Amino acid sequence: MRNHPRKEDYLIILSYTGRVAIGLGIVCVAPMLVAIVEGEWSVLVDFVICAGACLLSGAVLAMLMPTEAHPGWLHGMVATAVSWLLAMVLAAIPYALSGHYGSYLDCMFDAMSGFTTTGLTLVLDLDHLSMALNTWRHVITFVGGQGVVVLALSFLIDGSAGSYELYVGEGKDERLFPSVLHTAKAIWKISAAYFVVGMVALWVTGVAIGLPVKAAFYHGMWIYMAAWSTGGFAPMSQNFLYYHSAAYEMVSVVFFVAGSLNFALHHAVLTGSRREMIKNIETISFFASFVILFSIVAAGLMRAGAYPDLVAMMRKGFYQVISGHTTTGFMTISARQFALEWGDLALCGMCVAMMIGGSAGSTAGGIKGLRVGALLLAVRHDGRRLLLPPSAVFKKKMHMIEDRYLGDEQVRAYAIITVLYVGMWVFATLAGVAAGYPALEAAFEAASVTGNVGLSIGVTAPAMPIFLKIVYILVIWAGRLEFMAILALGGFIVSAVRRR
Amino acid sequence: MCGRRACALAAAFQIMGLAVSVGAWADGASVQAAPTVPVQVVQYEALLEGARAFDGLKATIQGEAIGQVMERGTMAWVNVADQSGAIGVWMSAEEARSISMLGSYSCRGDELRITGTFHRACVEHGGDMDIHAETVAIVRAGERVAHPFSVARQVAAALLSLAAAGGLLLLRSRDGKRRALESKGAKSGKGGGHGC
Repeated sequence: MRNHPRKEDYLIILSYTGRVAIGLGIVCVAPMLVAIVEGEWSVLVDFVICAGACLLSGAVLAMLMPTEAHPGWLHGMVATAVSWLLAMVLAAIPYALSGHYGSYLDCMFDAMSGFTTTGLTLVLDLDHLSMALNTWRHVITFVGGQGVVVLALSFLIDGSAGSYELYVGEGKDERLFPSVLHTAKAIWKISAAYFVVGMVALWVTGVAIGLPVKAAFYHGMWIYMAAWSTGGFAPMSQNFLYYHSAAYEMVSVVFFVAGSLNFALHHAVLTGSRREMIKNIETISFFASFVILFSIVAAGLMRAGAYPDLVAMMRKGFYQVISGHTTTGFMTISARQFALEWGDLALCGMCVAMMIGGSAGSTAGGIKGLRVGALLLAVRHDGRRLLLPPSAVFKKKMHMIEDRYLGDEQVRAYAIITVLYVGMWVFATLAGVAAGYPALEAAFEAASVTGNVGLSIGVTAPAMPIFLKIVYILVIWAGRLEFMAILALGGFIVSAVRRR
Repeated sequence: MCGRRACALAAAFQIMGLAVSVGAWADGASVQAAPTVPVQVVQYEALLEGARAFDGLKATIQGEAIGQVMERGTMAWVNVADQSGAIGVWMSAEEARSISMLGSYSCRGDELRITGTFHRACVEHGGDMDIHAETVAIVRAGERVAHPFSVARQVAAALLSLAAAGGLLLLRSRDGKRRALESKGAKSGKGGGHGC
């Protein structure tokens, strides 16, 4: 792409975006099937409208691709950023038609929250939502977890030039195979395999805890999709507290922890490299940070006297910390209980857990265990350099599927993303404080939004100020795409409006 | 000292209960009267905000039974929602079976008035905030909710579907032509360059 974008550049970007919209239209089939099975005919019409809008706009945009197109790095990046915005606008249609939202902005908030696997919601009267719309909420979370663009890459874009840029723009840079198309398909295969196992496990557990068979099936399907995608949406307003079951909570933990691990790690383990689980920098980093942060939260809960006995404290504390650290966002307490009962120390521990997040190249959000682990290794390397004689040579490496050299360039790249995450968290916190919320509550919600987590302390509600809704939408979008695509879009806009 | 604290808690409970009951009474003006049940209804939000004060005390809540009844042996969980939120109620399975309709997309659930012990963090249930019911009364039976078709939406859906089908056919034919051109170019050694 040239310094000043030409018509061809716009057309290439819009064309890619159109393919993603077509993909979203196809995804509408899932809630449509549920609407037919459940006889929710008026909801079916809403989804036909949504599918029609997606397919029509997608076809029109996709046809814009110039005959002699030369897609490049920036096209892919900008197209990814724009695709997520278009997907948000289109996916909000069934929400708006349902009458369960206060405004179209609220619908878009929920759509973006779903795609980014955040799980915060502004829905009104969730307990009376149709089965089809609940399916839609969870399907878009599932699709968003694997990647909206990964979906399009897998089925609609034939691995052509620019596809790697689209893939990377979505915050994934691990390739399981040399071909990005094969990698995208492998991601879907891994997710599909876990889907069967996870849904059956949750279905059976659901029946065992007293849910009727049909309800257990739907809850199993929805909860699996939200868990694997580290999403956090649940079909009932009480979120996971609805089930009142330690068994159901434990099964969900298995799948959202699995979802928070790198797809490359899954691939390695599934293809026989089981030792990778204990050697991988991300699993080590995740385990260590979880133990430290859970200890901090537990100490905070004990100091605040939040729970009457150790069992209750362990169960509630463990679930909220693991849910926050994997950026899932399932909650077994009410949002206000964080503010009213947990105490400042526990909340600070939760903020750090949410900010660190899960693994790179997974469905999780946050700074990511890889970056935190690598930065700590870099600190260790620099410490050794200070202690050893100047002529001493030592290996600067980390293990991530294979041993990798941890050079200054790599450390710099990790540090930049980390600084951007922290900066965005500060910005979101300030926005919350400016809207009139107490600082710690604003910081908690900001960490949840920045890390695409979904735990709420009660700030996110339909009544919150419009400007804060917009800020949160932008933050969860930027956090999910890990800034690169957003910076590319910003650069593209600047170069477009700048005079030649 | 303990007696004083208990008195203060009881007074707080009375004041909050009375204050909330005024609102609940006004809201529930059209609700059929449940004769033998106390009127002091506490909203979920008041329980949540004053959880430490209410902990271990008797409370009466009124709201819609939602979702599903989850039987656990001789007992069952029923989640009850009022306008400010939902809370789990632990009741006997027999009482739970008397609930004929639970709130969902197609139904408005039975409205229950429940009196029981409120637990901020129930020891028996792993720290859940819940109510262990002593009396359960159905104050209004649930009903099915109709969701009528909108003709305007049906027309919009039909038109959009037709337009989308047309658009996709055009795109398919355009993609076919592009592929033919590309393969022609590749054969003649004029493959397109990649982006800058």
